[in-house]
Amino acid sequence: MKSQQVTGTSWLAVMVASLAGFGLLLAPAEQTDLLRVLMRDAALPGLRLVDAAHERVMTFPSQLELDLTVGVPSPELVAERDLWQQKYRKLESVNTQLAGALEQAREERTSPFLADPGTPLFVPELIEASVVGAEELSQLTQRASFRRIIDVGTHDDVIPADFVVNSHPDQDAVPPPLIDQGADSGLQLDQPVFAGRCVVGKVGQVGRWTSTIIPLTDLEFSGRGQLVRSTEHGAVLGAEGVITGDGEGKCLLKYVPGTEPVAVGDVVYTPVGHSNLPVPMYYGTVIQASLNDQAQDWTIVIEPAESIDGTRRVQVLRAVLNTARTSSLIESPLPPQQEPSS
Amino acid sequence: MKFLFLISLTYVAFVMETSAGTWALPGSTIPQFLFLTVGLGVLWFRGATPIVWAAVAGLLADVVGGSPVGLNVVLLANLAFIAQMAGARQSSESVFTSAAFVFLFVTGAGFASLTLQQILTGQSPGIQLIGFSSASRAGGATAVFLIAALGWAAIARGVRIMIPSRSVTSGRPKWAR
Repeated sequence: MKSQQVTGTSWLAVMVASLAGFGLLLAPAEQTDLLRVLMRDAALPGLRLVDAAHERVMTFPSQLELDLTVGVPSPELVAERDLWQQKYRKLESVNTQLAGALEQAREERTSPFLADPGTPLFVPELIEASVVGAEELSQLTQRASFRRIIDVGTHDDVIPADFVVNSHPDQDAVPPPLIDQGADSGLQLDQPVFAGRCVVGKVGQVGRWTSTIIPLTDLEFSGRGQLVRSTEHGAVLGAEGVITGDGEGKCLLKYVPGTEPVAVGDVVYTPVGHSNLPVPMYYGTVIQASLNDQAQDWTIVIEPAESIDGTRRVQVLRAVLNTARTSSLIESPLPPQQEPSS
Repeated sequence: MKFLFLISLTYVAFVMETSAGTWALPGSTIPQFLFLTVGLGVLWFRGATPIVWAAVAGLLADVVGGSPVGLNVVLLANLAFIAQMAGARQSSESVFTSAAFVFLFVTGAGFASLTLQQILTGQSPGIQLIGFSSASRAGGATAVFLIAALGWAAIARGVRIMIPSRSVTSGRPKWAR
């Protein structure tokens, strides 16, 4: 039995393996470390598989719970739904713009003469801005207020090491969001602020390099909005009104006459006909509409589509000189004046 | 075919031991898969193959385990040779004797490896702790082996019942046919 299992090659193999092992044991650490690295690298494809499998196993119970819960969609479905909602919103925006153009054309009638579209002097331009986080804001404030001067001194019996306390201890006051663009970038008061295709607020105070934003849901916010209804024949423009924040995370659309049709689910855009925006921007969806007795106007509550909270980058709309016109002015200077003939 | 299977099994063992931080059996047991593959090599092959295989697996174990490179090469090759001389292949006739051999081999290899590692690095080996650790890891490896072997035997039996053949000639142990 022994002769069947242990052959001459077995002896040879064990001797070679032992020699190789001892050789490796005596080898310099740099060489063996290199060997370790190479062999660990070889495990990488398998490790990726194990990692993926481990993640699957770990997330399986939560996925199972999600599947078992009726009406709770999976994350993939939610992502897909968001994508389609975004596409729908884009199409709806284009549809609204076209409906506005059509309505305007109907009102103005078609001119019998062909007119070339003129080049506007001012064109809208979006400037990208970063929202400075609360932590950064706090640090900046601390740095800025490291040494402050107060208007009391020794005449008022103030001595070194006296405490300075805040006279307005409004701890709950949340500082307005700050963006890293200011007057040097052409920002002005009341310019609208967007996150993608959604309105999130407007410019409040404008500093040289920074500006504050009045969020859409803030009590101080006000802007113009227009209702858009989805019907079987497509989007239909509704009444215009004034959007204000209610201070509790929602918006109100005011001054919409009670004679106008309004329904829950209608969407609110920036006005189609009276805006210098190339496409209407989205405010949100009507979640509540009521017309009280004796009231002239609707009370409309809107759920904003986007919030400034958690948004890191926004775009501010500003009007700039049309370079197409100003450049032509530079290239072709005014013709020289002719000498008056005597 | 068996050789290819053992190669893939060794790679899987290498990956499983490398990624041991992300998983463990109940009781935080991480089976010594590489030593298990050496045991399987001794059970399945004759001649120089299991010894060469033990040396390769030893090198992988050194890389994974952080022991001095070459230690497990020498140790496992010699252990495989000793097991071969002791007639380990006879124990492959039954699943349970194979499992017993696997347990003893993996425990012995683990114990010797850890003890030598401690001695080489200048630490005093805690024999009891090393013994307990080796036995628990070997137990995990044996459990995995038993589950896989019994599952394989059940599948093979099911296939034989569904597709009966006149004669089976195979070099594998009965339970692994």
